[in-house]
Formats: sequence, C-alpha cells, structure tokens
Amino acid sequence: MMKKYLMIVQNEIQRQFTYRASIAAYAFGNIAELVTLAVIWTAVFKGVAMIRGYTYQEMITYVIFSWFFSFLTTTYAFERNIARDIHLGTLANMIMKPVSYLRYSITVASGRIVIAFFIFLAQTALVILFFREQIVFSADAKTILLLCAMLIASYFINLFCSIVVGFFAFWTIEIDGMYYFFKTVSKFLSGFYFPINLLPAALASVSFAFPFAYTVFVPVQLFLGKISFAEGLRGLAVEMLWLVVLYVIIKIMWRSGLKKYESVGI
Amino acid sequence: MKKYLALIKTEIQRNFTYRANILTWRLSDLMQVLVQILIWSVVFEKAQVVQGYSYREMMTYVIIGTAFTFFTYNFGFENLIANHIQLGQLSNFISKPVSYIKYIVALSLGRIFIALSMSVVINLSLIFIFHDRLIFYADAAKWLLIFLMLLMAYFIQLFLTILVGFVAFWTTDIGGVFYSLTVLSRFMSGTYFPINLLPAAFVNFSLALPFVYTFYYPVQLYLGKISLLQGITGLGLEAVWLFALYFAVRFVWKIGLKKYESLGI
Repeated sequence: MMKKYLMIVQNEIQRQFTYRASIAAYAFGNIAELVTLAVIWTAVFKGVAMIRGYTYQEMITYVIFSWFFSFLTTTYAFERNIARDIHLGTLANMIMKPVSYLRYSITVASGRIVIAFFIFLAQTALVILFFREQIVFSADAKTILLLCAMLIASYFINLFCSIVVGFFAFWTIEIDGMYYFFKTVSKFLSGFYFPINLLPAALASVSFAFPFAYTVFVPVQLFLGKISFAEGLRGLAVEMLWLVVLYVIIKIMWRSGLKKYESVGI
Repeated sequence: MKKYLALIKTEIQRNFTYRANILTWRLSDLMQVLVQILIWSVVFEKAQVVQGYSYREMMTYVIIGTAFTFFTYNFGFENLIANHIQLGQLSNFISKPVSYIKYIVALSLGRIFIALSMSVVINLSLIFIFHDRLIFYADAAKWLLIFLMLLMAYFIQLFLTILVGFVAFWTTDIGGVFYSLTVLSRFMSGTYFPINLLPAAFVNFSLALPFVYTFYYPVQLYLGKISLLQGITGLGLEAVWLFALYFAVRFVWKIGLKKYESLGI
C-alpha cells in the first residue's frame, strides 16, 4: 500500500535530477528577493530606531525568517503540474488506475521538492551565517517543536491551495495568470514582504481571515517571541482547521471537475 | 514590411483568447505596486527623508516608475521561444523565407498590445488616486529623453529575453534561468527600490550594466535627480548595450542552430 507511493517519490526525485541546472538557477532569484527587503529596511533604519515595535535587528530577523519559512514550504508552482495533467489528458490514465489522484499528486509534489529543498537549506545556512550579527535567536526547544509542526501544516496548506488553483484547469484553458495572481496575493497576505501588523488594522484583519498569515507571519512572530506559546498553539489549530476546509474544497472541485472533464485529444 | 504587420495583427487577435488570463497578470502587478506603496507609507510615518528621498519623491519613484516599466516589459516571452526550440517548431521558421529574430520582434509587438492597454488603464487610475502625493513635471526635452530611453529599454529587455529563451538550445528547462534573470534584472534596474540605497560601489558597478537604464535612470531624470547631460550620457551607454545585446543574440542564434536537432520531427 505504502510502497507504491514511495516508488512515486523515488521516481519523481530521479526525474527532477534532469532539471538540476534549472533548479539551482532558482537560488539566485530567491536571494535577490531577500536582499531587496534587507536593503530597504537597512536604509530605513538609518534614520529611525524603531518602526511599529520592531527594532532593526528584529526586522532583519523577520525578513530572513519569513523568507526562510515561505520558501521552505513552497510547492514550486505545483499548480502547473495539476493543470498539465488535466489539459494534456494525462488525468485519464490516472482515473483508470487503482490509485487516488489526490494521494498520487500529493506524493509527486513531495518527491518533486526534495532537491530544491536541500539546495534551499544550504542557501539558508549561508544567509544566516552572513547575517548572524543582525539575527535575534530566542526560541527554546518547545517553541522550535511547535514551529516545525506549524511549518509542516504550512506546507500542506500551500499544497492544497496549489491543487485548488490547478483544478481551475478543468474550466479554463490557461491558469498561469490566476496562478501568478494567487501567488502575489497569498505572499502579500502571508506577511512575506513585511510584518502584517504594519498594515492598517482593517487590512490586517482581512489577512487573518485567510490561511496565509498562519503559514508565515504567525510562525515568525512565535520565533521572535512576539506572541506566546499558547497563541502559537492557537495558530496551529487554525492551520488544522484550514487544512480540513481546503480538503473539502478539493473534494468538491474534483467531483464537479471530473463531470466537466472531456479528456480532449485522447 | 507588410508581412510583419500581418503578423502583429494576428498576434493581437490571438491574444484576445487569453484576455482573462492577461487581466489577472496585470492585477498581480498592481498588487506588487501596492505592496511598495504600503511599505514606504509606513516608513515615512517616522522618517522625513530616506537617503535623500522625500515621501512624495519616493511615491513618484514607485508609481511613475511602475508606469514606465509597462512600456518596456514583454511579459514572459522566454517561454514562447523555448517552446519553439523544444517542440521543434523552429524547423518551420528556418525553412521559411522569414528571419526568425525579426519574426520574434514583430510577434512581441503584437503580443504586448492588450497587456499594455490594460496596464495603461490601471496605471492611470493609480496616478489619479495618488495624484496629490506625486510630483509632476512637464519639460519637453526631458520627456523626449525619457521616451527614447524607454524605447531602447524595450528592446534591451526583448533581446535579454531572447537570449534566455535561446538557453533552451542547450537545456531541457529554462524556468530557473528565467525566474532568476527576471528578479535580478528588476533588482539591478531599481524596480524594487532606488539602487542608491545601496553602497556607492554597487551603484557604480550597476551603471556599467544595462539594467539601470531601463528604470532607475529614466525615473531619476523625471525626478530631476540627475541632469539632462547625465541623462544623455546614459542614453549613449544604453545604445551601446543595445548593439552589444543585438550582436549577442545573432551570435547565440548562430551557434544554437548548430546544436539544434529538431528532435521528434
């Protein structure tokens, strides 16, 4: 039962090695995104000591760890894989086999990120080494354990969202624009660009109505010690709730999508 | 010339199929501008001046600068070129009496039409909404210079795009190169923030690369932070880069074709 899924993971890792140069090339862009934010805040903090309760050190720590958490839990545009399965009719193969497409794609997604994941970890180690003077480390063992649990939940939230966006391919011929839009909005709402509490109160509360803030902003706040352990646990519970909601959405989309699915060209 | 005009027209029509898709792209770009507006608005609550930029100057940098970028973007053209190469469609072109590079340039002009129109509307609305926080100038010589810079910037971006697309002659996937070059070029051009927030050594280094002339320079000129003379020097350097990139495209095309196998045809 489990073995066939392990096989899929293994295959996918091997397949990814074909694209090793391309995967490594992503690392340059990743870094530029981080450096941008670090430069802006460094310039800004030359004039002021504190912005909305963040010191320079805290802000740099925020920026580095929001970058770290968000690329650690990314699915690397898995939407496109799903959309491709649907558009090219590969899905027809899957639904005739004794394997659940949902479980299959979760497995593929996990195998797919392995190489990028390790490259990213190495990259982060270098970044932390470079910024070690500016970073605030305060988390204890218990908090780190909670952080790990939150990040695993974050990965699955991102993955389920990717599947939802990918499933739009049942109805449209092109999901690229939607993917990009979703990506920008979710990054913004997650607190990737800056701490959500810099936003006007109304916008901040909007972002807490979505799952994204719980995938980046809340974990980083926990790491910085700006929220308590109990509040962190509450964040994890909200993540779990979102996972259930997203799972139900996926199931509903899958059912109505299959009715629409024509497998053109096969 | 007529065949290229026909090409532009068909491409515009073809793109209407994807109007919803194109609109969602433009809305995402709008989001990114809003992020920058928000960050700087929060920052300037506390500070009067950041590295020589007042709040109005920074807002102008972001909003007018973004409006400038839309005249120079070609919206992910790399993938199309890579597809031509990888799916073997390139064989169609090299057996026709049409130059592939000219074909691509014409195609890109047709392709940006809808996206550009949408961006103009979105940016005019932005400028209208924030008009009391922006700085407006009307100096004919400056505008002419900015126009020339942006025109060249379009071709600089296009040639870079073609070069990234040509990577497909040698690799099976260009996604990573594409992503990194996009982020790096935006970074180096000052799209994310004015590059003089960085150390002077870095700024001098970036002046030797083509990117600053596609964003930072035109906006600095608009803000009056560099003189007309400096602008003209910039334009000269930009022209040099344009020629260099054009020859690079021709060169890579030549060696790429030798590698091209048209696999699967």
